[in-house]
Amino acid sequence: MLALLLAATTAAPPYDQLRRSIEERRSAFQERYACADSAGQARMVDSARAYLFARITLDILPAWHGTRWDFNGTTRTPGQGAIACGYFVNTVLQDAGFRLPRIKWSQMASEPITVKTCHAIKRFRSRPVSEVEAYLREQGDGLYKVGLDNHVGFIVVRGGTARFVHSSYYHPGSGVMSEPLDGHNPLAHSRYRIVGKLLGDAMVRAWLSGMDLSGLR
Amino acid sequence: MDAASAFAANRALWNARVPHHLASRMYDLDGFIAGKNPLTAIELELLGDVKGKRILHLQCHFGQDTLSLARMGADATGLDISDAALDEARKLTERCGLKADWVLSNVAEHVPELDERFDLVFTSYGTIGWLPDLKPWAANIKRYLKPGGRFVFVEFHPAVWMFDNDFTHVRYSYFNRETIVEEEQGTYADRGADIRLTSYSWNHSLGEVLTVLLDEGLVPERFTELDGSPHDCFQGTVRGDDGLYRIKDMEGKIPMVYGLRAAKAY
Repeated sequence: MLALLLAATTAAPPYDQLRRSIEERRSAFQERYACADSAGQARMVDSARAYLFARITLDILPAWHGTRWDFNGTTRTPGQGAIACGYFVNTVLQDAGFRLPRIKWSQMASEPITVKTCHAIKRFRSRPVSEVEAYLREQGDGLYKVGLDNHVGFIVVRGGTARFVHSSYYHPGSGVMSEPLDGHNPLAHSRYRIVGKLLGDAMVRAWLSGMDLSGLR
Repeated sequence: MDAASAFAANRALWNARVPHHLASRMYDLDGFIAGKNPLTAIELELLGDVKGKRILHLQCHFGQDTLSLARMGADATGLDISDAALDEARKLTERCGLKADWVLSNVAEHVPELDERFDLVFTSYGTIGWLPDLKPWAANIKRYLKPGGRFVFVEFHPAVWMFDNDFTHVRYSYFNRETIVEEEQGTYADRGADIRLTSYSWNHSLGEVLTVLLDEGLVPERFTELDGSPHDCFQGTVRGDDGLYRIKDMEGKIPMVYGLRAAKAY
C-alpha cells in the first residue's frame, strides 16, 4: 500500500510542468492505443476521457484563474498578459494535448468548431438560462463548450452543479473566472446560445492518436 | 453538551497537554530543533514538492509539522484551538530561526482573512475526531484554498476509534452517532503525565468524510488505507519491520491510518 503512495505525483505542478506531464501521458496512451484491439481501444477512450476531464477541470482551468481579459489577448502563460475568450478556450484544449489550429480557431466564430468537436449539441434562442442548466443536468457531468452572441467559454458540470468558466469581458481585470450560470455574465444575458459536450469518443480518439481536431467531421 | 462547551473543554485539555508534550520523547523537541523532520513518508508523498507553496496546516498543535514545512521551503501558516500551543509554536519558530504565521481558531469557525490564500491545506493524525460536525470543516478548507489548490489529509482510521483504550472491546460506533466522553490519565505522548482531563470527541466514518468533501467540490484524487501507524500513540502496539506500529494480536487485520488528496473543483 505504501508503494502505491510512493508512486503519487506531486501536487498542483507549475503550468509548464503540467503541460509536459500531460503530453508525456498522452504519448504513453498513444503508444498503447496503437497496439490495442478494438475492445482495448474502447476502454482506453473511457480512461483517457476521465483523465482529460480531471486534468482540464482540476489543473488547467484553475491555473488560468485571474488571467486578465483583453479583446486582443493571446497569452500562452496563465497569469501573464491577457487572454481573449476564444484564445482561452483553444489554448486550454491545446494545453490538454489536443492538436488544433489555435490562432485560426480563436479568430473564427465558435459555432462551426463546436459542431466539429462537440456532441449533444443544442441551440437556445431567447430562452431563460434555467433551460440551459436543466439541459446540462440531463446530459450529466462533463466538460461543455458554450458559444454566445459575442462570446465563448466552457461549462463544467460536476455532481449536478454547473459552472461557467470563461475569460470574462464583463470583468476584464478579473478575466478568467468560474461562476454560476445565472450570474451577471454574458451567458445569462446572451440571446443566442449553442451548447455542446466536449470529450466525446471522436474527440478523445483524436487525442489518443495525435490527430488534429480539424480533421473531425 | 453543546459544541461551544465541548470546544472549550477540549481547548483546556490541549492547553494542559502542551508542557507534557514539549517534554515528551514522542515529540523529541531537541531532535526537532536539531533538524529532525517529524513528517512521515505517507504525508510527504501526498504533499509533493512544497517549495514555494503557501500551506495552511490545520490543528497544528505547537507547530513541529508546520515548521517542518517551512524548513522545506513552504510559506506555512499553522492554525490551532490551543492558545498555549500557539505560544509555544511562536517560541519554537524563533528558536529555529524560521518564519511562519499562527492563527487561533477551532477550525469550525470561518476565518475570512484566510480565504483563497493557500495552495495546500494540510491536516494529519488525530484531528477531525475533535470536531462534532465535518460540514464547516470541509466548507472552510474549500474557502481557504486557491483555485486549483489541494487538500492533503492523513488521519487515524475510524475503525481504530471504535475500540476502548486497551483494544479489548469494540466500545464505540464506527459512525458519528454519539459524543465520545473520556476521562484520560496522562496523554498519548506521556501516559505518566500528571493530568486527568475529560475529552469530547466524535468518530467520523470514511463515508462521512468523503461525502462532506465531495459536497464542497473537493474531488479526491488519491485515497489509501494502511494497516499500521507511523506514530506509536496507542496502547499495546508492536513495531513492524516497515517502521509502522500495529495493535498486538491484530497485526494486519485492521486499518489504522488513511490518507487522501483532494482537488478544489473550479
